[in-house]
Amino acid sequence: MNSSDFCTVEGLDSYYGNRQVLYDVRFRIPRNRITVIMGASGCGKTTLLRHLIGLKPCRPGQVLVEGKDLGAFNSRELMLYRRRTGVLFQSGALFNSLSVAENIAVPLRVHTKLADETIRIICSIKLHMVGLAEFRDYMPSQLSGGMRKRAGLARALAMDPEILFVDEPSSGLDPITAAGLDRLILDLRETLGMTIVVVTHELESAFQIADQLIVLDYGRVLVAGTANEVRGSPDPRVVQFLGRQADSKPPDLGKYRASLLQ
Amino acid sequence: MQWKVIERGHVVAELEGDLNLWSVPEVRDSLLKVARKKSIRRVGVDLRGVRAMDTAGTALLVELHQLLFRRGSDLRLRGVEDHILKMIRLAGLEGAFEMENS
Repeated sequence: MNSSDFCTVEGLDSYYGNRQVLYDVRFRIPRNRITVIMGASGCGKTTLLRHLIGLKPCRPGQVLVEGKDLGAFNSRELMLYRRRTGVLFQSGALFNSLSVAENIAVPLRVHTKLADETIRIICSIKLHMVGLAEFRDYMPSQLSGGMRKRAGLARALAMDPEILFVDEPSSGLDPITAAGLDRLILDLRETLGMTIVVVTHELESAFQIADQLIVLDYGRVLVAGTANEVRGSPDPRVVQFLGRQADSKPPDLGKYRASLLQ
Repeated sequence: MQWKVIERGHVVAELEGDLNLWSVPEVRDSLLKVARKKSIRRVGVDLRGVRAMDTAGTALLVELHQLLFRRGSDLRLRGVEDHILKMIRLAGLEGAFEMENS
């Protein structure tokens, strides 16, 4: 592990029941850099993110955070780690019974001793950052899907986390708003020195923001490197993914036919 | 944090270290206690010694500005280095604070 790494993943296998979804995944997450994990739907991106956050247990030695084994963290260490992280889930995961501003205030009230007025101002600043300054008193049910996503990002940013995990930030957003979020992610790295991990299958956004790209396919790392290294990869699946070419036949066609015809 | 009295009603707070969500509660108590005094007409905040400032630090400056502005007093920031300016810009508050060079 390099001292400039926030996290390293070493030989991570992952299962849902008997079904294996990640195979010997290995890569580094450098500090103060943007790492983009991309790949087709269902390739294991979100599962990988759940391991990095500590939501899905991993075997000892598979995920190291600043050299310490995430799989061996006790509940206090896990709580302290989560306090340093911000997470935007695909759904936004807002509390539906709280207004947008109250959602952002929750982690600040739980984890800090900040005064109510300071928290109120922080909420306004975060909402401005994601372009929702006018919506602080709205309830999540009154927002569109894209707005809920941005509100979720504002909440993930509430504590100015050292490491930010973002799952599909651009999905459901118009191109202008999506470009604004890309700009914000770059500004967060530049201004606050955040380490940021973005899961996406939006190619344009990925190449726009990434310091490092990890391309997953059927649970395996196909290639990891800079944008130029990934663009130059001769791997046919990488070429297919970047060229947005459909599979010539579904990969599970044999199993599908057997299940119907035998 | 240290206070310097420039003249009657005009004080400057010299901040040091990190101005972040962990340090802001204590700094806020000291800053607002002085800023609320009726005799205070101008508060300077010298940020030269601040290594890093996050959103909570920015929010504290906004709160101080609001308090003084409502009373007809004013806030001046000093020693605003590039990293502080970037944070103020990220918060959409560029140009919102009066700044002095010295």
